[in-house]
Amino acid sequence: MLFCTQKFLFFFLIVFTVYWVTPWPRVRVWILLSASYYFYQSWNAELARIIFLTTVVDYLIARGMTTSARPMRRKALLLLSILGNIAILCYFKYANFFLDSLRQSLEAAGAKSSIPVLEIILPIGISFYTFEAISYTVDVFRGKIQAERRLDHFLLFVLFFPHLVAGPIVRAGDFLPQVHRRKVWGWPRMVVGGRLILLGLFKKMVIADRLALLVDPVYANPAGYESAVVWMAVVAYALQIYCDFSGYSDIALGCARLLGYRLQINFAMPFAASNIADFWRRWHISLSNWIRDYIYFPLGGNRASAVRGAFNLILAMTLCGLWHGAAWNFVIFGTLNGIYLVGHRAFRIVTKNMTALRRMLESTPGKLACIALTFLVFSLSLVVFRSASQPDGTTSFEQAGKMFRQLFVPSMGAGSPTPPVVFWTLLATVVIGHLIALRPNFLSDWNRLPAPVRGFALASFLFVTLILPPETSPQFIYFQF
Amino acid sequence: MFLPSRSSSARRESLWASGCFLLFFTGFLVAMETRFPHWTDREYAARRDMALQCHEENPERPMLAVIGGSRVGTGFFPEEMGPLHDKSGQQISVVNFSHLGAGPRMNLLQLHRLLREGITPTSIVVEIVPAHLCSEITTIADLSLADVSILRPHWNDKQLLINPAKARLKGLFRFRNGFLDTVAPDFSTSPPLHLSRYGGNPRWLESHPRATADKADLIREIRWQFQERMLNWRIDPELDAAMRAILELCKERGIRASIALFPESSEFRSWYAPGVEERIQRYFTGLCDEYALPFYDCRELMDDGDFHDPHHMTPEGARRFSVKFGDIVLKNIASSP
Repeated sequence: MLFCTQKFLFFFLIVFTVYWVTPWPRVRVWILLSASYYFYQSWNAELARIIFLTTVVDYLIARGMTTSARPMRRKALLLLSILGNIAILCYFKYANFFLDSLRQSLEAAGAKSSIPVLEIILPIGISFYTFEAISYTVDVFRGKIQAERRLDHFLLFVLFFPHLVAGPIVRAGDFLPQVHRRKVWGWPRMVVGGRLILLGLFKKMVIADRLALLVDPVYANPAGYESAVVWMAVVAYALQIYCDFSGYSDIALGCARLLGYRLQINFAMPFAASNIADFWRRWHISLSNWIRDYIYFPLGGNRASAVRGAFNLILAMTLCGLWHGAAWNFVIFGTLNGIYLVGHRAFRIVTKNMTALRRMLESTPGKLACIALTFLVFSLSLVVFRSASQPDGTTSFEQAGKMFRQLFVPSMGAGSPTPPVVFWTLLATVVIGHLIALRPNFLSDWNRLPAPVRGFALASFLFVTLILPPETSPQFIYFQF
Repeated sequence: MFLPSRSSSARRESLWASGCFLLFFTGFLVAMETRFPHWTDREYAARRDMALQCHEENPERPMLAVIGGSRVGTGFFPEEMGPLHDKSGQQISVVNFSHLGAGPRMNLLQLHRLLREGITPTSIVVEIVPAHLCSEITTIADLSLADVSILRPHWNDKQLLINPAKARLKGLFRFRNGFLDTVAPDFSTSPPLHLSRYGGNPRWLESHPRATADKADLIREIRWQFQERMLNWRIDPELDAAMRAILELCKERGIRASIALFPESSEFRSWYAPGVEERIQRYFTGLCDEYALPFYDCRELMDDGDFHDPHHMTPEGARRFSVKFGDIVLKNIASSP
């Protein structure tokens, strides 16, 4: 059930109505729980049962940790939870990747292998809810939060449908107190929820889906297009993945708001970042924070030596890349961004005392150049991320190689598969959107406008959102992760 | 984020947004129903543009329009024929104004649509698939209200009102490409129809979902579609009335009409039950006698090798047929008084 479908609209309207006409808080939790279970099982009933069971196990483990005073037992329980969750994630998501890599290594070494390919259905959203479950037990172990007493509340924390399949990765410390809080109908909250949903739909249906019409054919056959078009596709893919994923997150946040819950924002104008470290603080924030809190800091962060700090950073980012999918191109994407971050850190240390350079970088042209460079390096790393193996046997690396060749060796080929004016319009829309949202007083200025003006603007935005989507709408990109 | 400060302000914003959107939505529907009925039907829109352009280029020329279903859409390319002249020596513009799946009702509608655009052809050829006289399947959700009012007397089915009404509820989204074709063509993403200058579609196989289908499967599918109607061929009175309405309208507007049956493969023809062939002939000759118009049965005009499936020609077959059709039928029509 995709967010931008009629089926979801009806589903949500029913849940929303039943939820708000029910006066009893406990029943409301059950309504949301039932809706979330239905939402997930509409993809695969069997996998819904698996999530349900693993969530119950995590609940029991956390309860066990709270009731036990023995540190060893608490540690063992934590280990059990982490290993159990990772084992499930590895089995469903990475088993074939590891087996395939092993098979290729054996074959490269001249050995004959008969390692099978497992037929596994990947549970949608597994990377998201596994990380939520792990963060919960770790936080309970660390004493940051109390283990939730009520199973229904804990189940809702993991299964809450707005964030279930593609995040944001919520923290128990943020979410569980909200389940306990009494929800009261309020127009301001409804308006905010509606605006977020509208913004998300626009990003997904108008920008991301339209850019896909340019990106997909070029990435499938880069050699067939001229270099300028391949550059357009590289930029278009960065915009597409941003609008697709942040659009999903906005809809998730909006739906949650309409039901009285507040989820963490996942994107904060990432293309306005002036360096790669800033970029990763603005891009997929819930994952970046998770990696920081549960991998990078436990590894020692940057408290150890510079070399160890760099290693920790690259390792954390490599795991971040691997989180996206069981393929080497994701691993390389993560490592590459880790190297960028290390490079940026080194640059900061080296230029610490170069006042003239610092002043130049802090000037407006310098900042713009930094923003453009950050966007460029991230977009180029996405070439590796996006390049997929082809039906003709071309591997993802060969495909990425073809893309880079077309990018850096000027070559002839077909023109843009979509009218260039569409690309430029969408690019301008994203840039203008960033500029508007970055204005310091944007929200207060907006709220000061007369209600009819705001209403007219929202209605126009909805009109455009319904008029401009292309004929076909691909699935949200992050559903595959 | 975005939090309006007061509840009343938020409520007013929601109400204004809903009101304005309803206004936009209504405005869109009104514009579509009154000024841009072609937004609802992309094939009609493409053929309308073609016919209007053809008419504007040579307004003095008489026009001969061939209307019919997919057999005409895929099988008749006016561009392939040489120039056609009437008795006085004036060149005639021949256009393919067909519509996918058209039977008597849709043909009636196509003729009305042509007249609605201010184009009155001097002659029309009405192509009919005999099976379409038993029942005609049309995507009624794609009809404008003006179209519905034309079909209403010939279609006593409440779906004729319900389906377009349902489609209007999704109006903005469903008919967006028609709107974009008019307002911002670069942003329209519906698959192009590749019509050539006079409405021929020599590239129809490129975009056809069944282009690469297994031949046996294709035959089975088409047989399943037609068999019942070819075995128990009987004329639906409403469809007969629609057929007669076309001829009456032609009479009223001074348009010379002819009726034609387009080519069928020997396999397709073998599906007619015994006795059906005579009834078909009897019906058409009777109708043509009644209205004093010529009847051209071209069903056996082409070899089996010219067909992509049992009743649609390949683009090459269609080119050969267009030349033959021009020589045998259209020249005859053009030279008649």
